[in-house]
Amino acid sequence: MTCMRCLPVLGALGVVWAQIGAAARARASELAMQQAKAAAAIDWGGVLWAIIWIETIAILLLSARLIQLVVRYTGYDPFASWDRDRANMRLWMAVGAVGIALAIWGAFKYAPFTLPESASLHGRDIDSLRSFTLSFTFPAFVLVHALLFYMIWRYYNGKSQRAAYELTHHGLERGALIAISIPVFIIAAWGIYVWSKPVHGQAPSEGQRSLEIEVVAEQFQWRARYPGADGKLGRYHYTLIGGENVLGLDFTDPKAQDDILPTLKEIHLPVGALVTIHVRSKDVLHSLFLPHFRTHIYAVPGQKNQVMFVPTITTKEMRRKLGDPEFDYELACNQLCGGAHYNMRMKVVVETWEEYQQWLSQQKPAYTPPAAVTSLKPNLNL
Amino acid sequence: MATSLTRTQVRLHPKELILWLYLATTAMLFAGFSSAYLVQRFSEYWKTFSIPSLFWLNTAILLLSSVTWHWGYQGHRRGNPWQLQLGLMATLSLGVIFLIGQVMGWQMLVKQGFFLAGNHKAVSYFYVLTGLHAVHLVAGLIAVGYWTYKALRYQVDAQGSLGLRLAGIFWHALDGLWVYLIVFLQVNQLL
Amino acid sequence: MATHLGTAVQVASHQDAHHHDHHHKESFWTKYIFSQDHKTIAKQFLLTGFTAGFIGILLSGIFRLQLAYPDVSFPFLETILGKWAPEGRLDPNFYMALVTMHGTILVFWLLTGGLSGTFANLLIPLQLGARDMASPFLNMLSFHFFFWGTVVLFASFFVETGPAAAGWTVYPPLSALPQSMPGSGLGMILWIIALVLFVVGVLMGGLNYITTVLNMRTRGMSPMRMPLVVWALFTVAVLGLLSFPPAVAAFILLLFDHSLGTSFYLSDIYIAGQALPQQGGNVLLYLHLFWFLGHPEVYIVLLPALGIASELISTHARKPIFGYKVMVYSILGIAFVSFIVWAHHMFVSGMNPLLGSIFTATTLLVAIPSAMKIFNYIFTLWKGRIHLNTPMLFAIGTVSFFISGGLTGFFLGVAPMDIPLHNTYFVVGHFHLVMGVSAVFAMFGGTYHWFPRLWGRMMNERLGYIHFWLTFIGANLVFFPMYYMGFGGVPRRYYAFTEFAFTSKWQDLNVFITIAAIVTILGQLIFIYNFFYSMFYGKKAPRNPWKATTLEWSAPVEHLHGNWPGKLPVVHRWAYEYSKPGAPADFIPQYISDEDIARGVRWWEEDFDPSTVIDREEPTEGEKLAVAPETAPSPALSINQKPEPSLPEAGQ
Ligand code: HEM
Ligand SMILES: [Cu+2]
Ligand SMILES: [Cu+2]
Repeated sequence: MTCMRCLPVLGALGVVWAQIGAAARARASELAMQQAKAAAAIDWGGVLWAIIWIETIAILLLSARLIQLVVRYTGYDPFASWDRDRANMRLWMAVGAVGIALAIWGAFKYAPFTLPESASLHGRDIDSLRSFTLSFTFPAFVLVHALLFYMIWRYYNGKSQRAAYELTHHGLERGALIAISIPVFIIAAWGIYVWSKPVHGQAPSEGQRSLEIEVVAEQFQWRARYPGADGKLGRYHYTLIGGENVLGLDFTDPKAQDDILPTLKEIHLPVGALVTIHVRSKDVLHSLFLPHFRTHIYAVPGQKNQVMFVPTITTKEMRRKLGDPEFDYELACNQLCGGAHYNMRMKVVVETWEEYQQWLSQQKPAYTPPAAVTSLKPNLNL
Repeated sequence: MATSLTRTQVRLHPKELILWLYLATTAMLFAGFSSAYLVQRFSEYWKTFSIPSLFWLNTAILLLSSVTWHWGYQGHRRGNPWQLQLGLMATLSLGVIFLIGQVMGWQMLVKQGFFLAGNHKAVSYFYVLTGLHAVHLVAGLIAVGYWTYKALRYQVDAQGSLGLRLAGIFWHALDGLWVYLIVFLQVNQLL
Repeated sequence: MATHLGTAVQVASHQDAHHHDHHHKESFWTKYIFSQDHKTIAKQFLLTGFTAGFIGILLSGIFRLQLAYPDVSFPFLETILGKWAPEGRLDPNFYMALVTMHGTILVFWLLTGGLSGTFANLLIPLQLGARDMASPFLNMLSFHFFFWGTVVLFASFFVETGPAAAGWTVYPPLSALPQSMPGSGLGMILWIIALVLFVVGVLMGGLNYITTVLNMRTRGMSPMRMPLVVWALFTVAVLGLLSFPPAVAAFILLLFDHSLGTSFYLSDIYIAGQALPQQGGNVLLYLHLFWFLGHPEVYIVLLPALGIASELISTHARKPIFGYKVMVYSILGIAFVSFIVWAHHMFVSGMNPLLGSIFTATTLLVAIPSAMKIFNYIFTLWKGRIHLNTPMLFAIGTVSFFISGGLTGFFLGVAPMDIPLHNTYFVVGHFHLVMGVSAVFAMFGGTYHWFPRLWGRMMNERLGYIHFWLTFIGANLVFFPMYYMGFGGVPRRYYAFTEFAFTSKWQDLNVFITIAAIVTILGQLIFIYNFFYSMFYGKKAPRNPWKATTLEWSAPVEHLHGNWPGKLPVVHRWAYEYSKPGAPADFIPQYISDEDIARGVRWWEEDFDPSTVIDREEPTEGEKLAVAPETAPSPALSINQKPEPSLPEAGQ
């Protein structure tokens, strides 16, 4: 804290500055009033605010300087009697206690904001694994921090006068190793077990309906494709994209001719069925993110990805459970794909099989055959 | 703790160690490319092509340049500046001939309709890998050129011979890298 | 000091013999810009890294503003950003550019180049008792590549289409197709060039660090006597050497796809009304190559930070680091495992599910050495005498953030749990706490701790406390709530959370985070003020202000070229001899031998001159050979001091 010479200069500058500030403010408001009528080209209000800001900062800085000045010339230092270590120790205790309390409070406060219970079968496994992991990590977070804070409280310089010469302690090290290894192995094993289910190894159970649909990503929207009466999705190739044929379907393939592209931006899924979504992208990476179903897979151009899941709760039921009549399942893009990435939304509706069938029957197939051929294809579900 | 005076230092000159570590990074660079190559090699779009035999001639030239280097360096060790000059000049010229040969090889490929751009990945990788090798080789040529210049002016003294040796290691490594590349690329066309 | 300047240089070995003789007169350029002195290069890295880092953090202030107030217009944004914020509303494409530059700058420039560059350059030669790096010239080049990389990176803000905007991971095809977003035009090319320059710089540094550690330790400095920070920096250099080149390969292929029409990553693309001819490319290939670097990169950031924390905690708790061997093996273990976990970034990319299981197992393995390190830090504090000064506060902060961030790795590292969390704010919270803030705190702590070594002055402690508490509280308030948002499924890299019902619920919390972030960012001004003020007006530092044991404190406060005015120190003990029972002080520096203790050397006194001990040592074989018979006074010694030719020695 030297630089004595700057002090008077700064002090004088401060006074001058305050004068200039006051004058400028007066002048600015005067002008602002004049300009208000004459449709100002300059935003005088903004200038005013800028001045006020600068002045505030200057006053803050000057006050800091002033305190230093007082300290220097009177020799009075309000903090001189502070015990650095004790003060910081107390701050650790206070900040630590408040911090941990806040973390716990936040967990309760924001629990209702987090995703509701899983609306898919495999999601329940994920959620129980997550609860288990949380029941280890949250206490561990609190305990390890408590241990850290205890050390600060017990051994800060002042309370502790001399450190011990302690190089290591085999029992402690071994204990720590075991303490961390157990959760690691449990969580890893459980995780691998759960992982083996959702992605592969799902087959429809007895009497379970199954459904294969396709969801295609592009900048910046989703499109869905449903199989027609044959239950099969037809061929496509990206070079065929263009005009009406937004998905590049190959209409020489009969399986493609009856495929259905829903008109509204919605996906409808029957509850309880094993749904397979084939995911592809027309341009860049996207990601099919269905948070309520704990389902997530990249849409990769040139790669055929798919996910499987079983929706278990209809939209109506979920609305009732949450007490929110507006609730909807949502499909989001979760891999950066450009400027409007944040805006790639599609509504997902889970409903009963009957409702689903009814909705499907209202949709039109993608393929409008040339007039002459129409008669050859009578079963187009129109 | 008792004073232990054991020296565990690596018995290499620091500069030489730096060079070997640098060669390790280069190896990792090409390992990266090779693994990318192998990943794509097994895709359904993979096509092969036949590498012009000129590249094998170039291989021989580059190998020869390592031999001439070694011969020259032996001369230097035996205190024969003349042999060093000759060896280095031969290496330099063979290196330049190799580069010219590479350019000619690329031109042959272009004439056959194999371009860098496009979907023929074996060809694209071929250009990328041989091109990067050529870039490294230019650096090698600069090193060799520098030492040739020094040798011609009889300025390679005892101190300088470390630099000379390092330049040699670098040159041999580029040679080895090329042999690896051409064998790797060729084998992947045959299998 | 003056007496030492006049004495002869005793060159340690023939290795550095030849760079001692061409520094007779140093101009501004050779002294500050093209310096080959490792201490000056450390300062250069520190200043460049901090400058870039501060700009990077300011960028986050801008995009946080957007996230909190997506529908408010901020006219000042138009003033500073021009066309990227028409009418005070941030352009979505530019939002992505800000996020991308923020991530790139902080991960690569501040916490890789800045952190390792500064402390490896400063500490490796000084703590190992070497006169300089193995190759000072390469060291200089290393900084210059880093610097020009910085220039290119920032230049991309001024190109017509804006800087790269595909995220710091620059995944193709977004990054490879200029028609997909403006940032993928020239900005992307500049990004790649900047990164390649950066990598070259980092690798040149790394070659030097490794060689110096392997080859230039002073007598008695066996590997198990090295300070942990040197172990960490050494390991990190090896990590970089093995992992950066494949990433460069990935970037080169990306550049070819971007500009030269190849199809390494591109396939089946229909964009902007046009089907591209490229077929058969493989996007996942890029992801694999990138994360083969990307994950070790996380530890390249983290390990030096933990190494610094080891030094600070041991020194300021006046207690030997607990479980030194376990610490060393943990560093090596983490480094090894970090190479076999990369695909945990790709669990939902559609790769073979079997890989998901394998990488779950390897990923959780990292938890073990990491947790051991945490426990050892806490046990080091146990029964210590904890001096809660600024460096120590920051070191404890590092440990605290490492706990808060590290534990959530359990969620992200397990494939099924990662499904709903991948790319959400949970990830943002996780990596900011565990590697971002934790490493930044270590860097701050290290700066406060080694500032006297760098600039010969102390930083102001009181401002340090204010800075610490503000930043510690602020960073927790910014990043901890992101975990809750992550459990709500809120995706990252979103320009606004207004479009989805499940994201718009969090608006209040977003406002809170933004306010906390802006206060925290402004709080860094205290540090900047303290840093520059102390550089010129700080209290003059004694030679060993923290009463530490390591060798860097045995060299004179003034920077000498060659570090020690006389002989090199010889090491007689490990780096953590604190509070040894029976010793006359609570620390015994590494260069003090038992005979010195018996002789009654009083090293703990403020005006003790270590040279009196160091220069008594028997010269080594190498030194005997190298010392020139005529010990002519060499004015070349001083780099930061004008040579004083008219020393009144003759008259005495
Ligand atoms: C006050 C300081 C900081 C704030 C407020 C902040 C805030 C943020 C936010 C909100 C994001 C996510 C943006 C989005 O997904 O839309 C982000 C991304 C990121 N931040 Fe920070 N950050 C800060 C400091 C740091 C530091 C110190 C690091 C160093 C590791 C860092 C590294 C990153 C990285 C790597 C990303 C990812 C960029 C990407 O998604 O491509 N940040 N930051
Ligand atoms: Cu998208
Ligand atoms: Cu990782």
